[in-house]
Amino acid sequence: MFAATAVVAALLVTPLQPPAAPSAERPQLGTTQTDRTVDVTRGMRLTLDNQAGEIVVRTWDRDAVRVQARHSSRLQIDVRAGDRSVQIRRRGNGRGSVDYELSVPAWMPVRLSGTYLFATLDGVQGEVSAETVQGDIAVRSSSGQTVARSVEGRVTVDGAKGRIEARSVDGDVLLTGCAGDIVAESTDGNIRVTQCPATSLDVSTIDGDIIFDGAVARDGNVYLRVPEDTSATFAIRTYEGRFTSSYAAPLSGDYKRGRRVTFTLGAGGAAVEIEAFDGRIQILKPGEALPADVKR
Amino acid sequence: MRRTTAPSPTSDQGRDRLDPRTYEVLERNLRTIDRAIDEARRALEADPGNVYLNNHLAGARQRKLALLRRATALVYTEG
Repeated sequence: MFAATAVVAALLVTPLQPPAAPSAERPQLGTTQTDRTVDVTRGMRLTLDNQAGEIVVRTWDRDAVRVQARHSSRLQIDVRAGDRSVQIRRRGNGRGSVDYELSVPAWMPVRLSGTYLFATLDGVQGEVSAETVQGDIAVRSSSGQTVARSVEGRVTVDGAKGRIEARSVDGDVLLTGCAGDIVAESTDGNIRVTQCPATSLDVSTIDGDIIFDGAVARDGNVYLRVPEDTSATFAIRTYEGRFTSSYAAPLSGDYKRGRRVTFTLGAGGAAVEIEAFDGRIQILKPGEALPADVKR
Repeated sequence: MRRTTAPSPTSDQGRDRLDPRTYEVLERNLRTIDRAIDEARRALEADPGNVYLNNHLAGARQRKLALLRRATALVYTEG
């Protein structure tokens, strides 16, 4: 059983490995059967609920939303631009999934939801919200508030800035090149945070592994590999585990069970806080080997 | 006034409304959280004044509550 929470600020370390490949279950977009473009103005948002299928959102430099959709011929896709939002709805008796490709202005807030939904958003600068149950979510290069949640699928956020919330229950959460205030959570999935100079980073899982900027947590153990020129203050606490460091920096006090101790590398500019309930916390130097049983 | 009772995500009614795979995932993850809660509770019994353990237990309970809320929302969405 593993439960750990880490809060990290402005820490950059070498990545361990690239994110996993996209899920094989992901549907493919095909022939477009609906293709509509509506003009929009700043202040409007886009909302789309797609129970089954894929949504790919890209940005362009027009103040307009283009909706391309592939679906059953018994379905119609309505696209309406109101005063405050663009609504996209399916009509008709046809069943089955709908795959969308949307082109939106970068400033536009986008809210997507569905049950068997696979969503990809690229370059949206407005608020992003994407929720699914049995699908994956991938967000790239967003810069407003980003919320991405799945129950069973993988959540990937790449190159995003701002306030980022990435959660899955059973799937992995992967963050790469993100900056800002980051919350990453999974219950049974792994969390991987790579090259993220976050102002704050809160990572937690119960039964998965945590890998962030070279750090690995597994079965209650947290391994944090940091460069020798790191400037950070570390706050460490374990209840049933122990703490070791390859750096000679002195601790703020005697290390005792459940007690929080701190140590500083360099000028201590960043704040790194790690808590593990029943595992070891180990600070490693670059090049030092992780234990052989740690999943890479 | 008529009151509607929410179907629990872990009840038979909740099971009937959810995709079987989703139900299994939710149930398994709730069990995982319950194990974490039990571990924290046992540790707290041995060390009742420990602030860290109290926070740890509270965090695990919050996580369970959040998952139950999500599951309940799914029961309504898919039902």
